[in-house]
Amino acid sequence: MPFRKRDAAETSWTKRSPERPKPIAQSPKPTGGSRTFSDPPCGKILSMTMRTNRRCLTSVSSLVVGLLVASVTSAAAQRPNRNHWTTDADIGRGDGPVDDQALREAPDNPAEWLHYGGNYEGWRHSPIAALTPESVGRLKLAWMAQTGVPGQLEASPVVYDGILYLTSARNRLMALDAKTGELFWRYDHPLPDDLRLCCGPANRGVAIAGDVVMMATLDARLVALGRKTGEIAWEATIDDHAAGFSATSAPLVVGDLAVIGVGGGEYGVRGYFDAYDVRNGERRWRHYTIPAAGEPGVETWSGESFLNGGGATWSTGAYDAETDTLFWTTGNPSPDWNGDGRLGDNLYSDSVLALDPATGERKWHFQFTQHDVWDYDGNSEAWLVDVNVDGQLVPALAQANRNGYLYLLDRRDGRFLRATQYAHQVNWGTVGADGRATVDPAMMPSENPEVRVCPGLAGGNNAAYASAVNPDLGVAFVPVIESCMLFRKARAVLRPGIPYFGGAPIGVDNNNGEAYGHLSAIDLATGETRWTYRDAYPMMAGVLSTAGGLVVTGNADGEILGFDARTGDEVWRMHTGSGIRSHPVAYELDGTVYLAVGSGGSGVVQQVSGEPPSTPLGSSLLVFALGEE
Amino acid sequence: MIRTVGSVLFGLMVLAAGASLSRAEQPQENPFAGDAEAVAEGRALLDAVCGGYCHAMTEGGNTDAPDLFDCEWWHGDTDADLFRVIQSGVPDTRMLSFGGQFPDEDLWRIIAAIRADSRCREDADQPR
Repeated sequence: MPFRKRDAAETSWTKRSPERPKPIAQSPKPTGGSRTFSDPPCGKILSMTMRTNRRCLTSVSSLVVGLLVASVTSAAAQRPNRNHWTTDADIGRGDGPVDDQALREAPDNPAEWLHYGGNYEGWRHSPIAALTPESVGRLKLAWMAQTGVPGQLEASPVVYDGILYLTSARNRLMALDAKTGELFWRYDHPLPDDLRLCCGPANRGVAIAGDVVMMATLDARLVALGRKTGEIAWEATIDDHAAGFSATSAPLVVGDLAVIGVGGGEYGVRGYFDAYDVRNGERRWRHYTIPAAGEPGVETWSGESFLNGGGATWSTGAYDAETDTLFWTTGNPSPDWNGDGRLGDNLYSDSVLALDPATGERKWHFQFTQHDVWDYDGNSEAWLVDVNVDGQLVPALAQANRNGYLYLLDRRDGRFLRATQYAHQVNWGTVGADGRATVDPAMMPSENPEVRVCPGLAGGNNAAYASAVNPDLGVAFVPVIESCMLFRKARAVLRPGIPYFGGAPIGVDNNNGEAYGHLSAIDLATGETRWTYRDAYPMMAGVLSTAGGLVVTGNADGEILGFDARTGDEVWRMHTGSGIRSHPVAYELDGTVYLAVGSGGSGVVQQVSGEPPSTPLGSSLLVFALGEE
Repeated sequence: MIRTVGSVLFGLMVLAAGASLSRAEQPQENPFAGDAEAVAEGRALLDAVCGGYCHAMTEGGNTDAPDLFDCEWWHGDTDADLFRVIQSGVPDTRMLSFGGQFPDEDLWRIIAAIRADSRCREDADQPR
């Protein structure tokens, strides 16, 4: 239900603003108590028992000196890492290292959820047939986990070897018993004070290779921990966070490489994505998304604008094992809303790139939005689907792009097949038969904008959450934002580590209370919408599809929503107390089917697009077990 | 160890003294207050780097960053307070330190624009 606004005298949140002040959470003190923890921090020992020993005295002395030194150096100094608990003994059921075969066959084994996208093809589709529109009524809460870091719980849990790995905002990683919720180990990545984030301290999950679990961090690092103990195995520095780089997405493992992208399109960085050796963290290749001088594509940038051209890579890619091709998507050119200084198409921003994963060499590219001036990132996840086009089965790549169109490409060569409008409101331009956009000049950002442009800056679909595909039905389930805006152009001011916006969009639908959302089931063969569920606020949560014909997602009000994949009939609605932005997953252990949904909403993109003003922040994982008939 | 701590403490005192001198040198009021040219330049900078995914530039905008024009100040309401926040940032928030990347004069121009576009005067007669 939409939130009813109260009179101004009644509350302080009637201005459609979140409760304030709303500081980003500090790393909480250890909760402790579990016998599986080892080596609790000295501070905890001292404060709870006043027990002392030589090691702790040394540590405390070092801590005092360290704190003093830190206080005189800079505000950017790293904080001491006070929150890392490991296990004494290996956890898990002895399933062995995650190998290439397991990654390729995922998610055929229902006991596992190994990829952010469910499988390499990005379907987020569980093989569990028992999760149906009819059985959803038998789901009972089995356990809950609290991350303790309120807001923006965007992750997709990963499940392997009976362990569920969950990340929260601000890079807290927890290993939990997937059947009971018992916390085995926990790692809070120490973060500096001077992070450069576009849109909040989100993290969208981990990847596993061999016996390490890898998390990308807000200060642009990739950390690998032993999946069975929580000990740090290696840590790689991706880049200097103070220059505008960050990492929020889940890595994608291909062979012995972990591929990870970066954020920074709002800071004028030159975008890229990297491949790291999962065994030791050594960087094997880096693929820049914006060409350097003399490279193909640089002619699509006027002057030297390519030097700070953006093209961030902040979502997880896909992989076609059959053709050994990696697909990665790219974001907006910089600055976001003023393209005057970067005339041209601005390759390879807002594109999908196909690469050889062994070398990072590009095979082909397709650009969705040429010379983007609305921040229509091309980063929404790509789905690898075989689609019947004109009577022929075509290996295709589909994507619900942020610009409001759903694209279908031939994934062998990037050939454009079709674009169909999936957002209700699209007026910035149209897509021609060759895949190029024709822009309505009236929709360009201007100093004094008066025309409402759709989609707004968050797009029709935003890469912070992933849709699902049911391959049996040939349907994609896409959560959509309907929140148009005015796009105000401003001066392009380039300073290291400072937002390079070049504009300031103005909410219209959100400010008027007219923004809304929907979940649309789109036929991939035709582009037609089969059914639509409409919600009072933009929909910005991940989606899960099951072989049993169930679709699960959530809304900004904090309700878990379940639908019949075929008809769109609503079959489940349950309040969780905070907005839902996470990615539901399903798994089966010892004959019991589980469904996990994270609750914990908001974040600046949701705030500017539209959300219930009174819904509190939260961050908890609810895990349901499917009971007997 | 004691010598090390002592040296660090001495260094801290020296730095603290320097910092207070530095603060004393900063104007406590905006040297550009009411200067129309400075306000226009400040508006241009505000639009360029402070809007977008951060502060709403119009009434009703909704983000975790404070409304700059409603006079509900979270970190002090004097010109000197605003200067300090813009120059040094606010730890554990998305508010960055702009000091060092912009001359102090530009920070004062931004403050002049914020004051000029404030809705406080309009709101003054209304119950709050």
